[in-house]
Amino acid sequence: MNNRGVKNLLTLLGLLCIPLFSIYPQTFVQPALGMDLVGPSTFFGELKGGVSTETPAESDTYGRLFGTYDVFGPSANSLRPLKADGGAETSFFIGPWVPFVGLYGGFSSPDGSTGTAYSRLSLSLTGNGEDSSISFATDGTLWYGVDAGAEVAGRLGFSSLVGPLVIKPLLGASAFFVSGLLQSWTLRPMLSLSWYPTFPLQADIGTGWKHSLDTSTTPTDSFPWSVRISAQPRDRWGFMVSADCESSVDRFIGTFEGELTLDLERRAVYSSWVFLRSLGSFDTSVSSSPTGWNLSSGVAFSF
Amino acid sequence: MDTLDALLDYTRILGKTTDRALSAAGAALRIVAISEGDPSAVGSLAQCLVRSTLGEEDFTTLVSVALKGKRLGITREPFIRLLQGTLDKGGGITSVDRELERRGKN
Repeated sequence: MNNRGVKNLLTLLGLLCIPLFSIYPQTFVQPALGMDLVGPSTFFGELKGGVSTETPAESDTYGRLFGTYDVFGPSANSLRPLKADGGAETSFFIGPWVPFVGLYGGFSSPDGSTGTAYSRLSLSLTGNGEDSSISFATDGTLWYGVDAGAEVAGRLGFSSLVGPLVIKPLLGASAFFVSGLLQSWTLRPMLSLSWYPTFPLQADIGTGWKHSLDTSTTPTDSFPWSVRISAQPRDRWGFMVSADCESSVDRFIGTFEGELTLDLERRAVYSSWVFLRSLGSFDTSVSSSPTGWNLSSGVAFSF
Repeated sequence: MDTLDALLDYTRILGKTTDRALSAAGAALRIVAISEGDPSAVGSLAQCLVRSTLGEEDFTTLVSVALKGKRLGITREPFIRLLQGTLDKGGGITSVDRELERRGKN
């Protein structure tokens, strides 16, 4: 290789290194103390946190690495499973089109001793216009442990801005396999709305129909719906309420969450806020009263 | 004042109106405050809004977009970068909404 070839090679290596030195790391940690309000009162501690790093916004190639964890003590339960997730994502900008690849993995345990791990490959192609966007996404997930199996899913979604509303019809389908044999499949047409008014409030609502067919039983139909509202009526005070539910003829399951936050003084290297959070769950096939309810409070730091 | 002067100069170079610059500055201040971003990001974010394809009436709705980012745990510089990156690539509010929901799931 002549001098010019060496120079070109070094230039190329230098250019390849630019993204590595341009990444922006961010860390967050949320210690909290809480109490169960259903059943015997039990105090618990929670430590939630994570780290992520991504390429600069002006780059034509987006990349992100992240990891999160959520641990409890002295014991976990179905309302607050032990969790850890991580992943790597990359996307490119080709005119209005954004191809995306994500690789994820994680672990979740409702009781700290048994649990389920997963690995997932996600692919999507999004086309962005000024006031509309269209996206096709597909996922392949391998589940290990208690609920071992494989799941493939696909979604075709459209978004359109109408005044302060983003209207999002979506058609999703998924199939679940165990040992290579089809166990169940689900068809899920959904309609979601995101409201972005000109004052500091934001709401998302979504509903749809879920048709599930288990190969060993009759089909079941249910109606999943969700509501999320967040607002910041004062400079530092904010609140959030959310519900994720699924109703069928003989069953209602759902989780509800409410959170009050008070932003603390922003520092040069971190911001922080105090939160008071309540989380509840219902499953009418188990009980007509809440199956879980807790209250927790803590401080969140974002570096 | 230096930030506002620089924004007005930038707006003039692009041939946009002073009203657009002032609307962008007001929205950028509130977005940075809600997302708890570095105050030094106000100038670059306001310039991004001025050169974006968004109408001035859409600037204030981005304050609500910042709230959604906060609920999904996307704040500070990651939110500002997501917003600027999406708008600079020709996207609008629907694109920012989609990107927030995708990243917020992880």
